[in-house]
Amino acid sequence: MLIDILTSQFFQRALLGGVLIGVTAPMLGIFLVLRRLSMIGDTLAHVTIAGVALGFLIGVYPIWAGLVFALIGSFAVEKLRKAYKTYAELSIAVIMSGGVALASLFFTLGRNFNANVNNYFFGSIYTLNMLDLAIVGMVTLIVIGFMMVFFKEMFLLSFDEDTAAVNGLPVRWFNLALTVLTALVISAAIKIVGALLVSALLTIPVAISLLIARSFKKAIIVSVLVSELAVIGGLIAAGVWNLAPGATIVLLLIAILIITMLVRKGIKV
Amino acid sequence: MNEWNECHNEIISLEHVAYRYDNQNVFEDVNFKVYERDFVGLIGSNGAGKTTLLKLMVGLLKPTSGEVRLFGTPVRQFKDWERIGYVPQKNSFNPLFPATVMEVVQSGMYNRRKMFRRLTHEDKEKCLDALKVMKIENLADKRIGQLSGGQQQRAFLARAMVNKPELLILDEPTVGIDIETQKDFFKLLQHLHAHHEMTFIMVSHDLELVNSWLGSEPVQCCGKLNFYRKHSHDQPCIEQDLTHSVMS
Ligand SMILES: Nc1ncnc2c1ncn2[C@@H]1O[C@H](COP(=O)(O)OP(=O)(O)O)[C@@H](O)[C@H]1O
Ligand SMILES: [Mg+2]
Repeated sequence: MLIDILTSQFFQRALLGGVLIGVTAPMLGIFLVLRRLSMIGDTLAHVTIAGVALGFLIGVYPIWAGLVFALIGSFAVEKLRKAYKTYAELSIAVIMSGGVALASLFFTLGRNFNANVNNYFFGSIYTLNMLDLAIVGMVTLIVIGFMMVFFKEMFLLSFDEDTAAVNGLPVRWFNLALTVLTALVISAAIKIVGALLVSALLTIPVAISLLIARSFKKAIIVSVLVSELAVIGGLIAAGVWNLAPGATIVLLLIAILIITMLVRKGIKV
Repeated sequence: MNEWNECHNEIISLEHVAYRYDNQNVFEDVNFKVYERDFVGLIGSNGAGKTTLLKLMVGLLKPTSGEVRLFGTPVRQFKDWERIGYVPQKNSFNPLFPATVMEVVQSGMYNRRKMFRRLTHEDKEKCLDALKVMKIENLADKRIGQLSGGQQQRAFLARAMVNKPELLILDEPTVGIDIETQKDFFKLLQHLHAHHEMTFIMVSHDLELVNSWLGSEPVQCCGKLNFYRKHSHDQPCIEQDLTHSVMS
């Protein structure tokens, strides 16, 4: 029974997709969390859903349409953030409601695809096809490559942007890159964990690592390990007990977070 | 005539510098020059524009009019940022930020030239040296947020020093630090100024201290900004190698 599930193709595709996004999401998420942008994942996910719905409506592959929307949404957040410097959360609220509004508009225009769009709301990791996997794989490569090349610059940028600028780093370029990468990761992750839960994968592993990690390097390592633990454990548990995979992963993450809070005195790294 | 005008280069030059935020003029016509091996103290009431002026000097803000030059080059075209160390006003970083003191100090070296390159062993040695100079080498592996205010300030000073900058720009470096540590800190600055070929510009709110050290009369006033200056001739300017005399 267990072996049957674990060796089935759809499960293996799910596992591969999950493992890839499990590396990418927290690796990017740490920079979002540390720059007080935790909610941007949620916001862009809702915008992406609007894109997905439009994709169904006009016959474009939903993830591509979602990606375009995510990119537009992330630029809009950046623009609004500049206009309302001291109210960062305002830009997030505006764009999020815009995304939800657009999505429901597209829904009413095309009632017959509601079931398909649900896959993107709640995640549908078992329906990943090769194209989805290829997209996730590509995004993973881009994110890991970027972080390997610019790790130290991204560290300084998150720690204090002014010093990064005084050191002559191209701060605006890095901010733009972070925005684009976020849009990429979200649109790639949305079919795996679902729009409603995607920000969990970006933020909860990071929240756990912030509790126990002393250094930046360790924070990244811990958050990736935690996220992989939850993804792999959650997928297997979901497969065995026939649970919703995205939800299982997220609940597992929250459980790890709670346990970490309870015992954290003993596990400083 | 002031003696330093003849024997030293201009490090910073402000000419007719004006700056306004969206709706508020901070200053209209600031003219000042900082020469090599000056120690300039900048005093002014809250909101006088001291922080704004320092940000203009390091290119974080662009003047509404007038020109700022660093080492003779207009800030916009200035590229040699390793020559400058900048310690911003109260580093209001997130105390939960997962970074060790060592990681923070090393980040002083992350500049345009080091992009696409790893820090070398030698670079890391320099960072360790800076920690030793600030007497916080035993804290290297601690999370920066766990340090006391004074220790954090030392870490940020160490970070600003890793490139052995010729110019160090400090914005109220001793706010929130106990008197004892402040004294140590100023001794350190005095030593660096006297024995290492460094130029300083420091914003301070401590008039008494500035007076006792830089003289009781400002050399120049621009609106609400008062500039005090002390020039180091403790050592002849030709003297080169003084790095051995690391402060004790
Ligand atoms: N980002 C900003 N936007 C608008 N006004 C500002 C900003 N920063 C500072 N100011 C205003 O500019 C003036 C000078 O500020 P600042 O340079 O920080 O003064 P100081 O460092 O001397 O206390 C103050 O009146 C302050 O209110
Ligand atoms: Mg100030």
